[in-house]
Amino acid sequence: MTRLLSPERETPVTPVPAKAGIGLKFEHIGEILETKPQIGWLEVHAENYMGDGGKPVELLEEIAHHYPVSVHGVGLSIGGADDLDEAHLTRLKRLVDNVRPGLVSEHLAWCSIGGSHFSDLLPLPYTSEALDIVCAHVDQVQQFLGRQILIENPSLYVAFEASEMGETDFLNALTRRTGCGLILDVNNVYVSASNIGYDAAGYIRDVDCSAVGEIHLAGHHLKQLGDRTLLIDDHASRVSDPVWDLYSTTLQRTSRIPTLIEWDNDVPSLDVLVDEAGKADTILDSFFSTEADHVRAA
Amino acid sequence: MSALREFQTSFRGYLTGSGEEAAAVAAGFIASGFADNASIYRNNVRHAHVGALSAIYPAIRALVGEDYFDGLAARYANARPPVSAVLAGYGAGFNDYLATRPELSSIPFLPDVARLEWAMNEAFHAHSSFSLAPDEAARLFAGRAVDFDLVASARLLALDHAAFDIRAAALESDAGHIAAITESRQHLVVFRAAGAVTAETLSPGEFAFLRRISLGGPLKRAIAAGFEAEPGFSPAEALGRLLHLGVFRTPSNQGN
Repeated sequence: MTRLLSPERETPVTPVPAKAGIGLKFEHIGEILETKPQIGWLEVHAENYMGDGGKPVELLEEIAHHYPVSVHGVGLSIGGADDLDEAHLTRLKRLVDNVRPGLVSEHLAWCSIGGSHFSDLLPLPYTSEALDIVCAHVDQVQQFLGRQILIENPSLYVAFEASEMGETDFLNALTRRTGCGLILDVNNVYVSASNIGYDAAGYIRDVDCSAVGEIHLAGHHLKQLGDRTLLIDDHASRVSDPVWDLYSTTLQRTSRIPTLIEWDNDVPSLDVLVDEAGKADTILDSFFSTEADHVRAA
Repeated sequence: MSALREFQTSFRGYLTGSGEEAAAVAAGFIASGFADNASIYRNNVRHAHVGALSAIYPAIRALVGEDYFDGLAARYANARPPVSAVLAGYGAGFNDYLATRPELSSIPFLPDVARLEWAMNEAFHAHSSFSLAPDEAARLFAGRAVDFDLVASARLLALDHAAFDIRAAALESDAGHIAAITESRQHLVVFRAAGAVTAETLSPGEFAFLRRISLGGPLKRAIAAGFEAEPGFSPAEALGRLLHLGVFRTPSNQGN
């Protein structure tokens, strides 16, 4: 069921352009505000700006005055068996109302149970029970915020005996039932496909790309665990060549939509992130007319 | 219990417990061949929680050593996981935890340094409010009995050790200076002004004066508290110094 509020009741937003953006790191804010580099848009982790006040909140307000912003949550525990934390949801709404982002998103993951919070995006089995719970939570968030949200596919290191469907079937059902959109994290697809053992291009083919409102790109590294090699989604390096290739594969199935360069650990200088965003923009331009500079405002 | 809750409750035990739980979790939920990979999640959780505590308590980390701190922080996080996704609010009880560790009893000032660092963290994220400038105070309050209030970020600390000096020396890796610090009890006000968090030492009279103001009520009661704590307390000098520091907020009814 789609339970979005009518357009006239939705919160006014600053649209995010269908260009490349970068994840906003606190250490870059001063340089960005001073030099105003050519960046299509900026994405922030919601939980970093949920304090009562202070410098982070004040600086984000200034950033939002100069750049389109996307708010990306990592702590709602959409896939958790517990009820959503209403205090956290209220903090998210306060942030969204304050910044008026073009996009708001969360993850297909859980991070809290029984009142304890674990600061990671933890995996869940893809069962009909889990689907009901995730749909109910997404409905609740969209109702509370009065707008559509996007849900991001996870990077996986384990599979579950109990899973009754594949991840793409789960996500496609989620978008049909709730009207939410998707963030398609192409690096996550590549990492999960390698770790779990499925075809990454097949994943792109199977997921409903018409629901994808944003693409994420990031770096990963290889880790030896016993006799196996795992790909670790650590957001600590440049996007790998195979992921750039998969990005091109993805763009064959989507419209022109915003693309984010994520880099959260061992954060480099700002010009490195701008350079990665430039690569994504070049690829975007090669697939789509630059005149058709669509904007996506969820 | 639903299957999803059963899995997540079980996985919680794995995240906060020993490696033995991994086998149980894997046997019930995780597909064959993937059990060892669950350690990735446990490492991620540990890294996030230790990182959050390291960011809030840099001087404690410097004082006890990085490796010891990381192990201690991980044990603390397992015993007391965050209750919120906002990690800026995580670690309020870390000073009490430090006080319970017998191996740290030879460093008795650690809990006080932790209290100071937590107050600085709170001040960093507190509601914003404007500091009252001295000339503005003179204009607003001329000829009137007006009550003062503290900026929203202000935190008052009465500590048994010279945590302010110890913290500064620890962050400069100056062990010799720490050993030479002889001052014991210390009164502090921690607050944010012009975007930066600062801590200032207070005399006993100034501390009592500010604490009374923070509780509300007329200025004369705050002055009386200052005299009671410190016979030589000078209200005029204290007001002048504290106004200059920016500890008082602009009254909301003045339109700021």
